Amino acid sequence: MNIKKIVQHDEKSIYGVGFLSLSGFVVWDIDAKTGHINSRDVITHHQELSMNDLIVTESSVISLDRDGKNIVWISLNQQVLQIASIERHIPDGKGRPHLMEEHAGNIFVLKFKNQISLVNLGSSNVPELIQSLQDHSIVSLGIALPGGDKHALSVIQQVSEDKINVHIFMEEGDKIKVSSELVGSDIQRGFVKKAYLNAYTRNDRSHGFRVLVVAEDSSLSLLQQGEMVWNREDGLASIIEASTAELPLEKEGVSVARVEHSLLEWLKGHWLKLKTALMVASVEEAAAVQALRLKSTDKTKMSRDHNGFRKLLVVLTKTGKLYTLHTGDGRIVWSSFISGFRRSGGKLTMLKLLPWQVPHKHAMHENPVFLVAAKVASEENKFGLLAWVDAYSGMEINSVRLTYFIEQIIPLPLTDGAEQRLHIIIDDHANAHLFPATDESLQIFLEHAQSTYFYMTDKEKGTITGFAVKGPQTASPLSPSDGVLFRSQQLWTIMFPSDTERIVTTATRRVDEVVHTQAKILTNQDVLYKYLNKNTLFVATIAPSGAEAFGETSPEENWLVVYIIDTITGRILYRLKHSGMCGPVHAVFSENWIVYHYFNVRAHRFEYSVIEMYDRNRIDNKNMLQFMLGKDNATATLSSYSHVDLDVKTQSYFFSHSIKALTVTSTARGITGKQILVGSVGDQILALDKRFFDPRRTAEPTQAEKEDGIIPLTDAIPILPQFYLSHAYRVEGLRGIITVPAGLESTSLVFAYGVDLFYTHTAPSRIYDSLTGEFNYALLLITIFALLIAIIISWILSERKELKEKWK
Amino acid sequence: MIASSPKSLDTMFSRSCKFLHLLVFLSVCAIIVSAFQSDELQEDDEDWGIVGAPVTTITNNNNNNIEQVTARTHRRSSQVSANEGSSVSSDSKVAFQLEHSFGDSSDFHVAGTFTARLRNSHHGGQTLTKLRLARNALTVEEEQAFQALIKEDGFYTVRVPANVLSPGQDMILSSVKARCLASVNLQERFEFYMEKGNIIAVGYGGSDCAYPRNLIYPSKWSFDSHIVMRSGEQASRTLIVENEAEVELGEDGQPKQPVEKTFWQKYWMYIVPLGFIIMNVMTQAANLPDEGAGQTGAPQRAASAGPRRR
Repeated sequence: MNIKKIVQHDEKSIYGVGFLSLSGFVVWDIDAKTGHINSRDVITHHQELSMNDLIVTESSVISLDRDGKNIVWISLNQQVLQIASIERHIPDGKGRPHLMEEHAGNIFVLKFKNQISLVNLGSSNVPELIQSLQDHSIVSLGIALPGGDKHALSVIQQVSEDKINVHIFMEEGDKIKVSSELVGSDIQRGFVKKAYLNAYTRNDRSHGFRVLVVAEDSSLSLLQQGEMVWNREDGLASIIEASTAELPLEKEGVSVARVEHSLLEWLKGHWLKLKTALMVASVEEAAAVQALRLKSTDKTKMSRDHNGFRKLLVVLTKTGKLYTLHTGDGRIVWSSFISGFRRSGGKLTMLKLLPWQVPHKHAMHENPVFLVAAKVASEENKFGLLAWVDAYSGMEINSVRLTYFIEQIIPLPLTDGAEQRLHIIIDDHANAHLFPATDESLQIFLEHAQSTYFYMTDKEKGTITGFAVKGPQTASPLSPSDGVLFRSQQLWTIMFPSDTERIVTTATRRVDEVVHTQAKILTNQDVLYKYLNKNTLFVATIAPSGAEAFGETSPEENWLVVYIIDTITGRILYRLKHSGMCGPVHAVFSENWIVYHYFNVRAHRFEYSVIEMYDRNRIDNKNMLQFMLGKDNATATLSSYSHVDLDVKTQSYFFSHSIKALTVTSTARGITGKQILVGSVGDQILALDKRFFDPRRTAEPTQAEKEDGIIPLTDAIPILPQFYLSHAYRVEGLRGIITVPAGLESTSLVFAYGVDLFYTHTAPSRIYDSLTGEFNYALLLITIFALLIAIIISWILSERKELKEKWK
Repeated sequence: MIASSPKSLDTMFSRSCKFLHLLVFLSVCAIIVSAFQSDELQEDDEDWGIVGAPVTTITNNNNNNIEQVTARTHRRSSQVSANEGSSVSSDSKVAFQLEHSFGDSSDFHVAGTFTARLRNSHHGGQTLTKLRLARNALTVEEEQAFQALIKEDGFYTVRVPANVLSPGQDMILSSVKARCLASVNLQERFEFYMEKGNIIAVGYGGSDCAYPRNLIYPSKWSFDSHIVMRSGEQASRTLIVENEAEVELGEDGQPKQPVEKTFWQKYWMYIVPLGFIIMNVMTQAANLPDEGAGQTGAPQRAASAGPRRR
């Protein structure tokens, strides 16, 4: 015996309703003011009841019997059990029905296998079928209308992919009023998932209704009077992956009229501009001119700019919808559901968004294409899904359903003739599948298959396992939908003892990272060679006890161990243990350094550490002249199997914040200095100069070190107001930051996402390769003119002088 | 181990007050019901007793502790003979097998035996020292397999148990291209990363391996093993710098404001060359008509000069 539902009936009484054993109802009548139980009634039925179906409407408690054949209800004021056959009252219902939670007044909803039926259980005490609705229908919660015992409920019925029918059921006394409106909906929003009804009073004092609907892509729309009043793309709050694409090249010879769509609009625009200039324009007209100006600025053009600031941001959301945003004004260029994914069934998890084809060299006029990967894990089977989407139109070029599960997708540093990047997909049996599955890509890959390695991290087991790709299965046919199958051979294992260490974070270098110089030349002419092996993995493990809540463990029970691992040979290149530290650990790996953030239990402060790796093997060719003449071994092919002698420098600093994200700026050629971008706990973005994270910092640097740009060592990383890249804004619910190089070497583009989106530029070493916006062109012109005049005057004077000389 | 016991006890005491209360209550109960005496073997008492810790109540509420204790007892029971007579040294011997495979990661065979001394470090953990490898001689089949591997540039894989104290299913693998070993005449190098008797990873390879790997067969078929034990470094504590150095701060303690430069200061390097270029162009333009006039004038002069000379 337990209470399943508590309902406030009126101001005086609260009803608690539950089941008694398997075939009885219990109804408590509780005084709302005193909590005193007025009565407790037990009504039993001769048959078993369905324990999952129980609702309390305005005047009755309704349930179904165990087989779902009959509606069983008791009226709250009469306390008499009544039964009605569903088959008799709802003849078109198929299968076993269930009671839906949503109800209004005396209207309740029965959900059958492929329809829902609205039933009224009014004062007549006989269930009356109001309407049965097929298709995909969503019922809103019922609402009570102000002034009287009126209740309403709405049902959103998806008639077709682009049309929805809004049914409103209003109970007025004993009568039920039904109204329906057909509303057009965007096919790219998917089906309606949830609906919320709201009532208002119309001009004629009657009741009007508006419905807020949540679509499959998590967007919100308000429907009223048969129209979509507004909608919000709230799906953008659940971004899981983001990437960028270049805009198309500007086409020459496009006339002004074509750009402005039509001559008429162009004339109208100019007329409006004239009006505003003469100050006779109305407020709306002024706004229209403002909008036109904004539209015509360079910032929002749909073409590539010289500095590479204008880009398309392609984002993948949790619901499986792709959006493309323009970096100029953040508008949505297109958004589309991947139809191949929607049909899959089962629980869909979005995995990755990868640039598949980047227009370049041979394929300059192709559109960029993205590869989207997802996986479906249902009870029966699990499999992967791939889709290729055009970045300019949002068109789905192709989508395949794989016969295997996706564990990992690795983009290879190889492209085929059409600039399509080669990818290998690792399935759950550690087999590799090559995409695109063409003869050409297979030929390209086979040249490098001997030296293709991959690794897999199992955080639960605490292992990292390395594999080598073994030649393709003989006579394996090219199957375009499943890729070319390659087996793999297990090469190495690293196993962190489960009782002392647990993997929390791994970090690798960006695949597309550009490093300008391999060496660091110090002021004393010494050369430090950066260890720039791309196959290096950073792993951080913490004590299992450290995973418990803060303050429950002592510093002695906490430690953080960081590893630098060569992923080809599985060798641990470096291991560093920090005692008394715990997670969460955030790490960023770039060039030859790693910066990571964790909590110091002993000092009760957050801390950063930096690791810089230098290659001691190459220290022999110290001579700078040799290095400049290229007479060193910098270009020799390195083997992972040769001995590595790392010179590792580390340093730690306190930091006052917990952080949410950590990344680093990236520039086109890697010459510019770096900034560490920190997503702070206050949802702001901090840009910290890499020079603060330099293990060569000392408390009192020498003059030579100062010339190298070494900042005196402090125990903490300072936070100055100008470090805030996000100014006063907060990127609510910040989850990730991505950086993209701009065309200008000095600048890096930053995109942060969470519930809010934020986009900005940053120049870690200031803008040194272009004139700033505040450049005074007028003064430059004046100077030039002054110079010109001076030249002319001096020329005239010299001419005169010469003439005088000649007359002498 | 000796040093560790009071420490761990301390933390246990502080963290299990409630439990102690319960224990006290239970012991009171035990006194009252003195007729009952538990015949349960107090394993940890015995164990702690051996290492000479003061006999105090040991609350066995910490899971980690139980594990450690059982691990110790397990080892003790098997290697107790090694300890007899030498109460100062708590060393014992361990042995575990090295297995290898030729290109097929499912087919492993015993290749040798590692022996080591297990030392209880004063931190409470155990460390392996004096690790030695006794390699079995390669059989004829193994030699052939190795040759085939060198020919196809395949991988030679070795593995050891992850837990050397009580070897289980978990294995640590490591591989190297067979040609790397062949090129250095089977001089192999093991680099063990260990943590309290667990092997985390083994770095295995030849002493060096240059790329491209040439097809060289070793002159002898016996391995020359070199073993390195590593446990990594301990991070130094964060420096507390006394003088709060002013980073990006001016003398007045305020963040240094960048001094606004004048237009000329900012852009003189653009303006000066531009001025030069303009000056150049102007003088060129001015010179052109001059030169043109000069050239046309020269023959005239020559022509007029000619007759005079005559």
